[in-house]
Amino acid sequence: MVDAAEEQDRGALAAELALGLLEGAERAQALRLCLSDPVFAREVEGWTTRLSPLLDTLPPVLPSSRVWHTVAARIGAAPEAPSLNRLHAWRAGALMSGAVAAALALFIVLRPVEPTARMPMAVSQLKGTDEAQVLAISYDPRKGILQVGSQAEPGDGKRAELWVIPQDGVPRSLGMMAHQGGAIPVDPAMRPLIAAGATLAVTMEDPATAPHAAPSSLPVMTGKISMI
Amino acid sequence: MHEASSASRSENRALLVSAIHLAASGDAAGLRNVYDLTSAKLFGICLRICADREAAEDVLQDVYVKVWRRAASFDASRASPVSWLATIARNAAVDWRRAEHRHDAMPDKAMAAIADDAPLADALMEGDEERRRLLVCLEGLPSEQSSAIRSAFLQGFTYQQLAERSDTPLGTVKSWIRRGMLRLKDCLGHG
Repeated sequence: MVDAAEEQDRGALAAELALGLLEGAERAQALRLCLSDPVFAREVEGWTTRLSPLLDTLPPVLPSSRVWHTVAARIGAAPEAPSLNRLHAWRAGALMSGAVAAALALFIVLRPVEPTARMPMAVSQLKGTDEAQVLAISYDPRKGILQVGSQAEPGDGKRAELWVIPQDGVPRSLGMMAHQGGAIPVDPAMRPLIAAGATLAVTMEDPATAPHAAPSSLPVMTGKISMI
Repeated sequence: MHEASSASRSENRALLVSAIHLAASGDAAGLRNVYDLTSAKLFGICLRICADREAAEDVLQDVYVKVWRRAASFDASRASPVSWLATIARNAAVDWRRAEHRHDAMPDKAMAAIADDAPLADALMEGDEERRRLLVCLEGLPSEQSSAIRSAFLQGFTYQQLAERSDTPLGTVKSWIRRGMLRLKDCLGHG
């Protein structure tokens, strides 16, 4: 039987462990108690649950890309995880990259990619999951041609496909990009979509079946279009 | 506006749950989705507790490897995915702090038991309501009690560190925490 005083001590110990106040031998002992005493373990969990909404008050911070690369290596996955053939997964990514793009928009420098351009142009600087990855894209609305900078060549037989995501949130393929960069003519029907505020995104896709109706993987780069 | 944000929150929650399930099936793309949806939030937690960017990134790596290994034990009917993940991150960061200061190793299985036996949260866990109630209850405590509780939980301070920081005898700090926690439990239980 556990008497009232002992029960109260146990309760305090559970709260202290959940708060992370204990150290050394006391902590080790409390952790062992978690294993041997399910009632105590539940008490600790109860406290963790009660307090966990406090964690929501901490501001989110973007970690560097090395974190994912190391995780991927440790779980035995390719650094860019294999594609996921589900549209809702794309939407998850798009939601997330919406937030990321909003943060990265601060870094977009509004200047012509080609200094000789005289006509209104749209530009976008896409940032990847790797900070070092930056891709500049400019668009000449007169000719309906996108100029794409060069990117690293992916090694897995996939190629970069460029998408425009207008306000409706539905990605439309603008075609595959050569890794060395160059011009991509835009289908006349798609041209009105390349407007300020729309998002450009890059996913890695199978070139054999391109262009695709929908992306099969999360974007590796995203950026907003700005008019200059 | 409020409805829209609550709809998107439940949509995000569903996406996160399906990503965790996919990871549980052994598909790395599932873990990648979990990472994309939550890494900034979990890094915020690790960074606050570790107070060192490089260490926080190392801890964050461990967190996602743990998530990968434990994904199968996640039970969406018992815990909110966000608080399940946040708890794993916080425990890992606190563990790092303790290991940093003393090298008596934690029984790893015990840490696993804590996070695996995930928070008994109900479906409202991510709601503003839970957080609002907790904050109201914390504010109802004497300020030294609530600030000791916050500092311990959000920054990973030990009793000793809290005593040093507030220049208060250890026994006094212990009694702040114990009284505060009892009152908090009472307030949350009857709020």
